[in-house]
Amino acid sequence: MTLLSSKLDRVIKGTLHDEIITPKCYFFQESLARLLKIAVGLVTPDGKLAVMHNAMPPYSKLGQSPRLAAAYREFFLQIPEVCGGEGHERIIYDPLGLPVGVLPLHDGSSLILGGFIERRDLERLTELQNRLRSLGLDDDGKLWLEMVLLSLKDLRDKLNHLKALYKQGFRSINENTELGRQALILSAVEEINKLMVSTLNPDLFNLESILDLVASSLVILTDGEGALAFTYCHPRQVITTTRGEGREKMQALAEEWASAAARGANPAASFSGAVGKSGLKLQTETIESESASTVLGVIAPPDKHLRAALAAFGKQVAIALEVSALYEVIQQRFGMLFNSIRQGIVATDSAGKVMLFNQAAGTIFETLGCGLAVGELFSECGFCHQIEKAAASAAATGCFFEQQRAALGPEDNLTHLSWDLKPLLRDDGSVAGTVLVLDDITEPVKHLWEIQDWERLNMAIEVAAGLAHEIRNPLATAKAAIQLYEIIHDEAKRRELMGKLENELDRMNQVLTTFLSLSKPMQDHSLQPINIAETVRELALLLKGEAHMNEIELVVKLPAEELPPVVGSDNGLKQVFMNITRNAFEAMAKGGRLEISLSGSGNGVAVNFQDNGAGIPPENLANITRPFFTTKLGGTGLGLSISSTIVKMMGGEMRIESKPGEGTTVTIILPTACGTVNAAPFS
Amino acid sequence: MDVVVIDDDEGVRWVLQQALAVQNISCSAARNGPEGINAVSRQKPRLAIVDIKLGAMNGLDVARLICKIDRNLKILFVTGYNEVIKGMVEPGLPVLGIVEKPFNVAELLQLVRQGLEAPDKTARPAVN
Repeated sequence: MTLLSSKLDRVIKGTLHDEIITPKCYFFQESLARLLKIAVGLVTPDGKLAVMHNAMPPYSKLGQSPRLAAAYREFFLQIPEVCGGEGHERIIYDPLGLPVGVLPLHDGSSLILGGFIERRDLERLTELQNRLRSLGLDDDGKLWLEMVLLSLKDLRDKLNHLKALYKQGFRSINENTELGRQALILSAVEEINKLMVSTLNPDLFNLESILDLVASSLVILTDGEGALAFTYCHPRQVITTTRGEGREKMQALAEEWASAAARGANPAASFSGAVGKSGLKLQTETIESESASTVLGVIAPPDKHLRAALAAFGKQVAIALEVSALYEVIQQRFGMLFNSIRQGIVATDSAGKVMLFNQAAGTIFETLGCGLAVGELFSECGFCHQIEKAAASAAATGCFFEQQRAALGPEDNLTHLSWDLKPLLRDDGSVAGTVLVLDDITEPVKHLWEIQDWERLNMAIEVAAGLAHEIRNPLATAKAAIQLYEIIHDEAKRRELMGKLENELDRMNQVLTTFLSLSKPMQDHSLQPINIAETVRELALLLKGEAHMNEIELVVKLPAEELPPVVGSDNGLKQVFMNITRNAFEAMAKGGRLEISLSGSGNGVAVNFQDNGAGIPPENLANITRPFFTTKLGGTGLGLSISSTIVKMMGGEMRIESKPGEGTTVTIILPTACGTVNAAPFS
Repeated sequence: MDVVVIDDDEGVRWVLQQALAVQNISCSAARNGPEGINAVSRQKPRLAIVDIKLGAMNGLDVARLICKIDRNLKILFVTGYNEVIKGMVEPGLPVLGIVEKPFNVAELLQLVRQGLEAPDKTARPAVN
């Protein structure tokens, strides 16, 4: 609204004081240009091209070549000096060697007619092409074809014609002549027209602006003495620009208008009263539409041009009203569609101002206690720093963000969002704004957590089952020992039974202790330098019997040189190695080969367990270190998960590769003790 | 040989041997599936007490294999698991029963005696 008013204000003032009264009036030169079928430009007294009508090459190409533009700038600078003196028209040659007609005007500015070449002048054509090349505008033969060709005589004729027309016209162009007034009104109407059209620019389109313009009344006034005033009245503000002796009268009218509007009365009705008192005549034209009612008025001595202008403007207003009504319908339908989308959508312009948002977005923002308003800066909503940063970089660079996550709001009531942020690109690739799409995934996230809780419960049950099983063996033995004690009377045997009973009770305790330590894998595993070769040797010794029993060939390969010590927990490592070896044994139910090898690996030591057992199907491989994942009858599913946890706590890494039917290789890489290693002695 | 005990738990093996000895039932013990199969084929026992969780080769598989070796062999399962395991026993095996750990020695011996006394063809089919 303010933008429009100031624009209008500028148009009014500019039109009146700078452009219409001086010979720079656009429409006049433009008319001349069209009439003469040539390009007509105006060079200001300080040597700048102010305007060019009917521009054809080379003028229309100035933007394409900086060097050409620079050459012409230089050329225009010389014109006031070279061609000074009103009425002394002449022909000079421009940077391309083309003849240009110059008509100096009374105020030091000059009209130029240019961009032509003499017909059939082949020498000049060659020269033109050479110059074009030298100025960086490579002429592929098309440029000069676009030019209007005429002889030097033609140009001279047109210059003379222009001079005659201009002299005649200029005399008429002042506010006291009828032609002058007509020109002023037409010019004003044209400016209003331009303003109307500009509101239809998709980037600036704003229903309020149109309604603002339309619902306001435009009053064109001329007073009895012939001075011209132009008043734009609006219920909220009055812009008055007057000239001549009618100034006070006009201002009084404008004030009358404003006060009538402020009273909520129909300004036009009270205005006509005021106009009557001032001795002027008011002609009005009312345009009604569903959304606005507009009164256009002209106060003037009866003047057919004013009436024509009024009617023309009335048509413009009617069109604008139609457009705005249509826009409203579209907006309504679009709004319904937009608001029915479950995801929240926020669009901003390239400056980061919120352009529009849907209900879902409003709800999300509201939930989080942030205000979201059209026209406000998105970065000032205090929504989410991460998203604001993304919006800024999308607007600046055109990059986009997809399927991002954010958890916002109070700790105990987080709102989980999945968000996408994309730039809105224009046809030329520039960024017009950004679109943020928000998906509230709080419910699904909570649901997932619930499932995880269930899974944990499930795991606990599994652990309990595993524990029960481990306990039952010693329990069975202990119970049987007690029962046998009743039956057997041989003292020596009885002592043996009691010994066994105590043994089994110890075992039960051991099982429980082990399970407890499983739940805290590193509880009593303090980190210390470990000679890993020694640990592996011990392990091999320990498992030799079991391997033999299961018809498994256990091969240990240690490097010839000594490996640096690793940092870890001896008990923890034994637990890990035992676990992996047992798994390998189980994978080789029909016998096989397990090779345990050691090697230096970067800043660590790698322990490799390679079996040729059944292997792990790919679908299980991904889950194998998950707690409680097991495919074994009676397995707790804790072995590998605890192993992997222990390795991680030692700063190491566990990798499992497997091919069903070929075997599995588990590699554990452990960091070596700091400062004691020469990087990788065996890599 | 009357009975072979196949159990990976040393304590259970020992205590079962002690209990059977009280009843003058001759028995040997095996620590895992392969050993058990070996014992059955060499010693021709009439009954096998098989632990269901046996490590690499589980008791259910072992039972199936040893019953193939000796068609008159009867099986008595012992297990630390609850009765869910019953559903996993292959139908048609001559299973005397599934005894849960910890077991009652007298009841277990009762079952063993029944198994040893019953004529071969009246061996009960697998538990329902």
